[in-house]
Amino acid sequence: MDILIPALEQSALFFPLALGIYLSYGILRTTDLTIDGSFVLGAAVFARFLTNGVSPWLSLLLAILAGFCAGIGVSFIQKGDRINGLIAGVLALFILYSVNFQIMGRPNIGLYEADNLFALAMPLGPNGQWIMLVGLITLILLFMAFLLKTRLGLVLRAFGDNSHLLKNLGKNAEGYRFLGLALSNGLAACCGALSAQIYGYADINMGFGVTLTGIGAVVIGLQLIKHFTINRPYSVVLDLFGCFIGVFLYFLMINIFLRIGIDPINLKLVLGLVLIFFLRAASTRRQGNAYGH
Amino acid sequence: MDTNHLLQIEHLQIKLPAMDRAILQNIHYTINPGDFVVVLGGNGSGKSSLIKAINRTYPISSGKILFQQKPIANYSQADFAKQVITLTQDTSHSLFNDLTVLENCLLWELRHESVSLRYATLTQRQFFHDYLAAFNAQLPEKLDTTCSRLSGGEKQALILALCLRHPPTLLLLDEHTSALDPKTGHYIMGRTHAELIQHHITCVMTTHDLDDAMAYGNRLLALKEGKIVYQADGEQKQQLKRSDLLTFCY
Repeated sequence: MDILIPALEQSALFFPLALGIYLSYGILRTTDLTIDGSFVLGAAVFARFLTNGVSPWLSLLLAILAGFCAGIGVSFIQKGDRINGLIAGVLALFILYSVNFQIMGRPNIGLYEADNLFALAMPLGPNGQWIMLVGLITLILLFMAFLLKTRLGLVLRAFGDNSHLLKNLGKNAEGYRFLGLALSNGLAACCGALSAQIYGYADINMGFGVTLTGIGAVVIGLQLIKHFTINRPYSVVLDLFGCFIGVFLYFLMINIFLRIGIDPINLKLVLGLVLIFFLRAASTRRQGNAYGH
Repeated sequence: MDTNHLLQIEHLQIKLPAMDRAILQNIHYTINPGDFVVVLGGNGSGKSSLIKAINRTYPISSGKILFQQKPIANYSQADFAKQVITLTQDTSHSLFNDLTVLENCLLWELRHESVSLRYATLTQRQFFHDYLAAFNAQLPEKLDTTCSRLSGGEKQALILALCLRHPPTLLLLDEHTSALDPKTGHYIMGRTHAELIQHHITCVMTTHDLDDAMAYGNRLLALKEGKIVYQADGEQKQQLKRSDLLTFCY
């Protein structure tokens, strides 16, 4: 239990970002590294407004809006596939480092003295903030499930599958890239703001590697789901469930590694190797190439 | 000027940055509503480039292409998509391969609809079940199969069905049956022809199949090194023999 509970808490906190990654990496099929920066952007905007006396909920909303803007920015860089999505993300990340620093004004901001987003949940006892967090995440999850079940969601998947054909069918394909990346980065910013609130501070370096973690977790989850449900057509519920399983397994692994005494300094090395294993497994499946060299 | 023309290609030249010579030179050709133009030519003759010029894949270097008396560049993406469809031998250009047959049907409907927040209704499902049955006996049972798992013939039949759901004004066929086995290819070609006539669709088709070139179409055009080297219309085309095609067109 003392491994499961922290793993569950960490998973819940990380889940909005994983959903964002699912949108960009899983649905739009673009690897958007901006997420690392949007995560910090969310935390930075949230912390700065909160410490200036703005209400916590409004600060959270502004943080999400900032994430949308980052997503729109990186869409502009990618527009027309003139710049590869990976490079566009690195560029956006590079720029966001300065932007985040400007917003915060210093490398980190403590939030212990400011109002708390989860103040409403105090009467529920010490676990109140987690109950409220789960409530929030359920709302986000319902929104995502609804979105992906609509014709709009289908078009987002079509963009990831064959954006050229989408354009030939007379649709503004770029518009869907903007929408998808804006939502994806908005979710990452939301996750950053929530993380800042739970940890009690925002830090300029807190986003390091979150995109990779998210991609790893989502790939693990989707691979597992795929493994147990062969040749199924797309199912929103199964995929979203897969994302959560992936995130949970990932954090469970971290907690187990730490428990069995792996030096935290080597943790990224070990996790990196695990991710390589899953990413390779996913790509042979995708190409259906049994005798690949 | 006769305003009845559907497509007017005037002194068209296409030059791509990566090529030293123009891939299409001084193409001058007019297509009337209801025409079925067969385009012949060896590999690299510019057949596919002509299709790509008409469907706006390649930018025009000089000259112009008018579709319904209006330069093709002046159409919005949505308007052009409603009127002009291109089918090639590569089915991945026309299908969302990782999506199911039904999802492809719904997406192709977007040629004539805007994107909304509602999803497929049961009536739409039933509709496409019956609609696809007229094109291929297996397709109705495969509504929830991803397109990548269909056979080549099923894919091409599906694409034909999708594109005729709202018949275009102009259909561009770029060797669309060349990747199929002879029997399936024959079926798809015959079916395409029947639909063209039924819906009064104007068509430009490139092919390497001389039998098809003789059997179909009321006009014939041969390209070599990016130029028109031979044309035959109506009666003249009907009297062409296989040996004539080999002499004049290659």
